[in-house]
Amino acid sequence: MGSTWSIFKIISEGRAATRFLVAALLSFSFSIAVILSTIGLMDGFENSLRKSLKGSSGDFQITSSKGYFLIEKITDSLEGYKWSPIMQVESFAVANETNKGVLVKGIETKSFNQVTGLNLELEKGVAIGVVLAKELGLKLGDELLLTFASDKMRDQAGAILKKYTVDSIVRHGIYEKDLRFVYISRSELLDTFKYKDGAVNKLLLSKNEGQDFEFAFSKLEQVVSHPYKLEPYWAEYKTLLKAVEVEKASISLILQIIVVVAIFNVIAFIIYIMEKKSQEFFLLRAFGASISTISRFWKVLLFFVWFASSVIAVGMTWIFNLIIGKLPVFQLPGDIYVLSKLEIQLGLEDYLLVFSLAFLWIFLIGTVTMWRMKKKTVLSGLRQEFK
Amino acid sequence: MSFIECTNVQKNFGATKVLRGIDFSLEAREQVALVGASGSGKSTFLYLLGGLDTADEGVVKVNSKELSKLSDQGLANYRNNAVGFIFQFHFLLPSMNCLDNLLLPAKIGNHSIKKTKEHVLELVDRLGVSHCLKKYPYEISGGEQQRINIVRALSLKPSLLLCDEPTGNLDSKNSELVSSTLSELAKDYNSAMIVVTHDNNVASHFPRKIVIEDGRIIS
Repeated sequence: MGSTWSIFKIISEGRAATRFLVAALLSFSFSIAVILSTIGLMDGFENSLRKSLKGSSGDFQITSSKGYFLIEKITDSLEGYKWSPIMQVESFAVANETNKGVLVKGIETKSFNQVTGLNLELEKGVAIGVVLAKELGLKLGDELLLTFASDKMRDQAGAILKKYTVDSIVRHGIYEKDLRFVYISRSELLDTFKYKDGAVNKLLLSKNEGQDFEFAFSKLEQVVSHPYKLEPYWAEYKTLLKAVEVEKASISLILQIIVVVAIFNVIAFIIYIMEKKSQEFFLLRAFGASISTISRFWKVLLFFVWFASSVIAVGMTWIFNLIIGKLPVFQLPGDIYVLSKLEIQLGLEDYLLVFSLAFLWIFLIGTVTMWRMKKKTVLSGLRQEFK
Repeated sequence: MSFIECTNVQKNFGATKVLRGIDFSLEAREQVALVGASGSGKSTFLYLLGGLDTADEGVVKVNSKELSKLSDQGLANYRNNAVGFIFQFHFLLPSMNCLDNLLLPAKIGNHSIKKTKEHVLELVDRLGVSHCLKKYPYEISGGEQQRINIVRALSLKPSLLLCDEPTGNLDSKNSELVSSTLSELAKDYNSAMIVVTHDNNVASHFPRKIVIEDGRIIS
């Protein structure tokens, strides 16, 4: 240990060496932080999206390939699950001389709140998404005109116009839902379209408390058959989520280039040390330091570079997360990224992946350095360095 | 059996034959001057004896140990415990003060720092450089640097003292002083000593003189 410390003291002597070491550390940290932040953003996006979707859709949804179906035909087989019937139609919402295409969801408040946890309050009016309220300039108690297309012959396929009061403004956490969703009592919607009592075109379900998601899904799959279709809550975004997964893997690989660039700084530091301090290295060997002692020093130094860089990178990622959360300039447009706010979320496996790849690079450098040093005998080193 | 026994020692650097079959022996506590022109192979031979390199052919035995059969760690231990090197240039590390430089071999070999320090303090006192201990090498004169260098070589009481042109960088007065000091110290520490020099005046301080020419001992 004494000899390792003596070597470190020799190496770190002089401002240039210290500055070089700090620069190599920072650049390596930065490259690790970039990868961590990118993966963290993607994980954050995926997790936030799933959480927000779950918060407004329950755990599963059942639809039919025939469109509308009667709930009695399927609910008998859903014993043990909480469910809520939905009747949804497209419409135009008009208010303050502005209109917007919306999806009107006819719900039964009590069961809907139980399944999704949204806690909507509906009387005779509607609940609208927070972005829609902003776009149409609506607040609680204002009036909203909904325009439905009628398929009944007696209406001669004309429009049905109905006015409602805004009873509630909802925040889903998903921009698209906050912009497009209008909730209304299902019975009101059935009345409007003159449909039978049990008619729905979607059924939301939630698993029992503590039940495993995959297990619950597979149990349901056994009882839901054609023409009904069972899907998890993220089904409507599954292509996007798949794309995020693929992007995460490919970007992680591409960003290794940044690590490689940073590794050049570490290599430059090692070359600098080997050139500037090789006199000292060979003198130490002349006084009895073995190759394994020198090798131990390099291992400790490279481990230190890796460890310190990883710790600094975690700090940099944390700061970056704060910045994207606080500064408006870094906030992403919600209409493009679905969620209005992004944050970095990293799991243990992300840290392990990034840190182990960084360690692999450092290990490769260390191996090459040691190989070069072992090739030189003490005598050739002394002759070369002291001539 | 002699303390050092060398038989047909050969060493090449690429196509250049530096040592062409050296037979040499040295008794314990014996002192010898190795004389030769520049490029004759005397330093290479010295470094082979010091375990800084291995011979391509032949046998180098020190204290009955064949150096070529020692592992890297074994050679490192040999250099640390049995050999004291004194180079022409002092090679004191500029990042450390003189005391730290003196204790460096002890630290590398995990020897008792307390005992080594006691011994080193006696030596610096004897060589008149105790005022240099807290100073850095660039703060002291060339003669003082070389005396510190000698103390460092003797810090672990080596059985073999190898000196490569120890006076090559000094004026004649300091050369005389260093040569006689080395001779006295080697006697006091019961160390065998080989001094490589091209200066016949320096060589005359030692009871035995060997001349190397073109990688061979000629007398």
